[in-house]
Amino acid sequence: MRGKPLAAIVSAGSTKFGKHELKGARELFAEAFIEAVESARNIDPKRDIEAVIIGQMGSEYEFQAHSGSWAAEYAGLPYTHAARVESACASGSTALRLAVSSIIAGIHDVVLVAGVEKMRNRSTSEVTLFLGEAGDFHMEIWNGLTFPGLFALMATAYMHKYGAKEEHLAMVAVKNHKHASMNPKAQYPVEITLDQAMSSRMVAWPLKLYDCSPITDGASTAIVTKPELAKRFTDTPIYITGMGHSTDYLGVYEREDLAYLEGAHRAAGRAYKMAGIGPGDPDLVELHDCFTIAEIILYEALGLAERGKGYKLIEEGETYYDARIPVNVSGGLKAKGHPVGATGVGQVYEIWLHLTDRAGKRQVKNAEMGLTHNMGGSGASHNVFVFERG
Amino acid sequence: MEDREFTIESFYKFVGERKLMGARCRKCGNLMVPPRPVCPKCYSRDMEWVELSGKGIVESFTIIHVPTVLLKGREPYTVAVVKLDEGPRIPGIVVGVQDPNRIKIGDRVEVDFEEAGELPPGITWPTWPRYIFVRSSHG
Repeated sequence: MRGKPLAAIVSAGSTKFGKHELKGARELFAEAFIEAVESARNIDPKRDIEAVIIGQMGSEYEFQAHSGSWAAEYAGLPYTHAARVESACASGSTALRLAVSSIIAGIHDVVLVAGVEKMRNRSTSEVTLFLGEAGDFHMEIWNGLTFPGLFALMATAYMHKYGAKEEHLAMVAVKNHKHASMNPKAQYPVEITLDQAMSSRMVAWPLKLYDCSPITDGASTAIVTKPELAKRFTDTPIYITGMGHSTDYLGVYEREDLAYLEGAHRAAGRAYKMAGIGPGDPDLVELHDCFTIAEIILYEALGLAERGKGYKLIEEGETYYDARIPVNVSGGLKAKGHPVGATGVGQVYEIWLHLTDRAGKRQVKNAEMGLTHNMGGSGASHNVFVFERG
Repeated sequence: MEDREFTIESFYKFVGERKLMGARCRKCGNLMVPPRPVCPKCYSRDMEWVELSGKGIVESFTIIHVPTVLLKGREPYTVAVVKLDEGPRIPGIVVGVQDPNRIKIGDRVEVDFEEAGELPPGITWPTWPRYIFVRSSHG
């Protein structure tokens, strides 16, 4: 281990991402919860879990807020410490950040972190309005923007500034679908062609359907402990050795460079510094590809590529699971699916699979260190974590 | 006008009067669109209203084909981030453009105004009118 362990992940769980006709947020959570419990050794939730922190963006979908309480109840812990946290699409990683903080502070030793979103019960135009809440409603959404529209503004600016083409965006979708085809929990475990991506219907020019992550139901969990306790629950804990957060302007229109994500850059810098590593060190990266353009800009913001050269990385195929720096081996938000509040914890689940040799066909060989980057909204908040094998 | 509070609600009230207004910090000169009651640069609360020319250039744009329920039926329509000549940037619909070949970064646009339309059933807020942009006829 390169860095000093802040906390350990002793197990994790996740539902399949996709459409779950008969399951609401509670049942999705329960399924991800029990997988995490069963994957650990000798964990008795009633004895061991001291708090539940659940990330969830929207209370509109099921007319249900106050999810900390039902989550605790569904975990069989009706009188525990629990809360729902919201930071748009970064809700799940924010739950993890708070769990790690409470462990470092000595308030809790074992915390159940969860993320959940139930979305498929609503129409696309309702979901589009709800997701828009993560952007700036008063100026952006009211004036006709949508979530894809906000990232389309970045794509237009990026292509103009650096000469990238729509094909580069499509290449990201092709890669992430290839990865998802090896992930049985992905929403769309199917490969696609560049032509399919390029000819899919327009959502917010220049972004087409295959540039956008889908609407997804799902839940993911992780059991987080203080480092000294980890071996009690598993022989193969993974350790968090760095974490960094940054906000950015809520409105894309307020940002100096529309072709960049400064908040991601700052969050990553803080995480690298804490872990004592550089951007070339992680063996795999799960990053927030809510739209294909986000993945390309994030290559740059996280330091995997030089500024203005992110599109070359995908052009040269360097981010495939068996290439130089594997990115979104799970299929990413694009093809694994994006149950908004679950996504940040789902990324942790993926890293945990690789660092404990559970990732099956898509296993990244000799993976010792993983990185997650989870983004809120149109980039107004970012959480980055560094994970290492023990 | 001088007494109007420096809020987003006031900003849209002005839009209803066909005025694009910002707040200028009297202490440090920071110009804010929409207005804010506290200057995030110097923390002064001493503001004045400034009427903006509404002229500016397109910094980026998109053409929305899948709108929210708020604008359903209007698609496809263009939204641009416009850098106003006075400095601040704001997003807004550019009317009359549905094709990416008809607009480009750097194009000059100017503000116009729409009256408040009807909201979809079940939604009662906001009842704001919208400022919009049109392509400038020259340059």
